Amino acid sequence: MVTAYAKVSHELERLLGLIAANVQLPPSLDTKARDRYETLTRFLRQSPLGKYPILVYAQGSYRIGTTVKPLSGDEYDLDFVMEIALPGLVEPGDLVEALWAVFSSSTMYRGMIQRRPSCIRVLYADEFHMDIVPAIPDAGHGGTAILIPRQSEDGALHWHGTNPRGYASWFESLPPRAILEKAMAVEPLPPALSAAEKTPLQTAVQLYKRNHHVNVTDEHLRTASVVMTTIAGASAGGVDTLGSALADLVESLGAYEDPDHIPIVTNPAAEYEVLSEKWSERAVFAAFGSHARRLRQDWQQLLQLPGRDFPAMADKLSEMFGEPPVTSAVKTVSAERQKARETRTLSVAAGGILVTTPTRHTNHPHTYFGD
Amino acid sequence: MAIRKRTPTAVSLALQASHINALSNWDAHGGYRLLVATGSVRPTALSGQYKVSIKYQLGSSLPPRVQVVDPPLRSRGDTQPPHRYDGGELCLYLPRRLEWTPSMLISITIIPWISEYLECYETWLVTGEWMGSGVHPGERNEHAAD
Repeated sequence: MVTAYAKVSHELERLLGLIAANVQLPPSLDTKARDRYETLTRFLRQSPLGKYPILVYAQGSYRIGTTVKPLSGDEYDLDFVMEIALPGLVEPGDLVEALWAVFSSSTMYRGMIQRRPSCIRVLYADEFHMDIVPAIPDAGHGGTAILIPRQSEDGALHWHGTNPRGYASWFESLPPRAILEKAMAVEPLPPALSAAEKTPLQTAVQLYKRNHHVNVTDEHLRTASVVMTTIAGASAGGVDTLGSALADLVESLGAYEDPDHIPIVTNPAAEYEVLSEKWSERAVFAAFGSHARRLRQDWQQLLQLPGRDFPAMADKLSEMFGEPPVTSAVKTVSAERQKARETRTLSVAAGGILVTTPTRHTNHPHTYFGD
Repeated sequence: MAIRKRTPTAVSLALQASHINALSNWDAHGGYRLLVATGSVRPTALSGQYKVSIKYQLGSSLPPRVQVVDPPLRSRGDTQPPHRYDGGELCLYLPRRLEWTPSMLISITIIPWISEYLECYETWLVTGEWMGSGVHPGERNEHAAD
């Protein structure tokens, strides 16, 4: 039996990295998101709310660089916090109302906003929306802790304690630490990292989330992204490869397969905040546990295929992550070889393996023919 | 005085076999004007092994005949793998462009081209796209060198 820790080949890691790159927010949309964030921040600071200290920052997957493309039909969901230091007490509903009033009085935003129970959603026609959650500092916990509006089952809004900046700091401090200085915590927006610059943990989280979306097709049964990210982060060992990050993650999922034992996942930067509230619905936790079991099996099967049957390995990857990102990744690798062929830097090593490091004899040019 | 071009001398079967046998996973022997070689090719580190055979008739106008023996090449739905002759042999070069002639060593031409073909074949099976370009009989490019 292949264990989760069986060595993942460099070539498979490369393919997995390309798959992750194909499911994350593409650079063109990231640029748009940054522009819109700048515009939005200026707008809020110039609004009536701007007479108070305002800090607008990204939270969630956009903040920590683990965005994942929604399956077809959905938009990217980019989350932001507008933290405002108001004098005196304020009710959560009043703060949401104040933010709604600011947006709806704007000719620029009025036609592109939705009122959500605890945030304002700004809709952009080109594939993403930005959820702006209003927040106030949490004086009780201090530091970067905040209070945000949260709707209870009875529909009432109450203050909910959280700490997204603390969470981001925790995630970024996990081994292996990002080598590049610019990958360290930067407020209010993280630097845009290409797929090649992401840490193995960031990439592992993206693949895990994508796999969850592909396998848990009912949105209502999906576990919150922050819970999966926390589980992945907690499993992180110290080895600096994507293969080991995934192996650690897959191994840790064994703790979630018992439907009668529902763990509680809290915010590592704010232990009072329970992130896994949705698991109180047994069906949601059951779906999570079932997915965990499936992922462990799929991972075992995947590790047996490299060097045995490339098309079957690609099929397994498509099962796990969806066909489009896998097809695109396979084409990218093949295109690199074709480029090497065109530039006469492709050759063959022992056993017939194509290599792009030139050896003594690079392959002669030729044209496929026949029908 | 007319200048006559010399036709390059064909490599002997013994020399062809010798160079093929120097490669790992290949075994070649030459009989009377016929070379038979079998080998095992893994085109990429993620691929499985393919058993391949080459038959080459010295003095024949036919190209070396390359067959993928095991596992046999698969179709993609109803579509057969591209760039093969009627008998299923791989069509690895454009004959009229003299990309291969009997004066060339099979070990450094045909055999590396087999790896390239199998890599393109695997990508084609997965994606439906043949990444290695090429021409089909009757296409304009076939005669571009004429």
